[in-house]
Amino acid sequence: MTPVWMMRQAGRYLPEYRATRKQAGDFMSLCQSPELACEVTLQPLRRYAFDAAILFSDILTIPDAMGQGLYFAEGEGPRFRKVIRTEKDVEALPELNIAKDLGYVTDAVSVIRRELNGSVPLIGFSGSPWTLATYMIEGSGSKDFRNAKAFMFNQPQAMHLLLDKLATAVTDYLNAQIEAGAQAVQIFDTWGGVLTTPAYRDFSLAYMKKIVAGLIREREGRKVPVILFTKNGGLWLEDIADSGCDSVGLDWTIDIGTARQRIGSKVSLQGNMDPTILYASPESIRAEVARILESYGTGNGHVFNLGHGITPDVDPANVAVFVESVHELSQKYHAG
Amino acid sequence: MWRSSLSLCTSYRRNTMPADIDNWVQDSSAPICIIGIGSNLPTDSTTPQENVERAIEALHSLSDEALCISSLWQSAPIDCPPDSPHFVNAVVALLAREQSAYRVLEQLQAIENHFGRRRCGVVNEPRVLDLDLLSFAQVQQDDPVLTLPHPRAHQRRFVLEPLAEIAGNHVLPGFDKNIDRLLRELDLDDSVQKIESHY
Repeated sequence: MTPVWMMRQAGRYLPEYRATRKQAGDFMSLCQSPELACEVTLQPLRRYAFDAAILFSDILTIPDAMGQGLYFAEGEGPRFRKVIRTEKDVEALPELNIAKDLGYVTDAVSVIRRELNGSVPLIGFSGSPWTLATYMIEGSGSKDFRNAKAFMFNQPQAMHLLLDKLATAVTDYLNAQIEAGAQAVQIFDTWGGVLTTPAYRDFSLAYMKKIVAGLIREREGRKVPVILFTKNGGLWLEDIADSGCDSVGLDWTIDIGTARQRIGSKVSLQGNMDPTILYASPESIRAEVARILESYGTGNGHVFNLGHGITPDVDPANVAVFVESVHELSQKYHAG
Repeated sequence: MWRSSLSLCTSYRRNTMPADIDNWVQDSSAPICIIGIGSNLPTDSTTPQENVERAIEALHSLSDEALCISSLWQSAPIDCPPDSPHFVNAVVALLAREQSAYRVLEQLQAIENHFGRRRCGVVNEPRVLDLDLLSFAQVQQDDPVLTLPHPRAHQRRFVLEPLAEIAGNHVLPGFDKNIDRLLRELDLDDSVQKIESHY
């Protein structure tokens, strides 16, 4: 069978998640309580036969720990109270002590790992330096990233300094998650795909490469796989696969069979169903799962996933159709 | 010597003399594992005592050799939610087939999960089956996933009483006192009671 998990599988589409979040008060309190973060991490596993647990947290915990003041305005995306606009702002960013500043995340990893009791592996994650930098400069999400890109073009040295600081923090952060019990880690580069080819290489991929080179790669006598995911990264698959990662996450815009031909001999692939298909009928979901499995073809090296996180108002029944379809329809590709 | 201790192990299962793991010769490359077993919840068809007995049967799959098995003991719950039922406990020593403590931990977790251990996030909740790796060869480590020897083993009568039956002279890695002495010096005011069992 092809293993399956889902980005943001612990999330708002589940009524039990919404209840726990209400109990916590707000999103950051939920992230910062190891017991509640553990509870929501386990919730999707009680409903569906996912083959891994994914740490419940947010990609923006690092900038928050650096003092940027993360908050979530009701009904809007993440926002920061402080933004980065000058080289001085970058220089003033503190070096993180993960155990002290982000201990709530590593504590959650330990609690979840204990509660999973070996039933499925636990995946940790972090945002990529470039993606974190965009939020720190814009102060929120953005349509065109005008501030982040202007900062990059006008003050490339300051941008490199920022990305370098973030790469160090992400490396320490992921290593702390691995030491606490995470059995694989994923780096989310949500916004690398908005860059030009040279800018992607120099301002996003270069720093992810640096992180990969600094990660603990073996723990508990087993390899700790590293997954790189750049949304809209289909143009640069070969470069991504050359980064030293073990697995590449794909969004839905690329055909997974083509991706396999290009980099399948080097890395495993994770993906890549359009999350929006979960709004369609069970028959359509099943057909799309079948199409992706057929495109990948026979053999191992494929983890079924969505091409991005599941959206909040999907019907949980459709997620059951998705997971069951993957397990059922993938069997013939693993025969013998 | 190895063979003779084997026969002791086997005979002990008929409720005669306890075998002692210090009789195990150390030229075997198999690491000595000490495993604590506990249950305080029945399943649909088995009592806690039967859960422990079945777990002992299942532990045979971890070793090519005979096991050293303590008596079963009953203990009052410690640090557990109010009204938690009594525990049935035992300790088993075995020569592990696996050379890695993490692999043994995975094997124990697989047995627990097979018994339908339900995790609901409550610390020290009542449980169908709890298997603790108390020590693994001479390994000493402090790791969020697996701390060896088990950090609380030496403070618990429900561990030390059964362990003393099969390993009274044994010294856990990092300790300077044997199990008999740890048991004598235990000042925790808890009580455990031996249970009649076919083990």
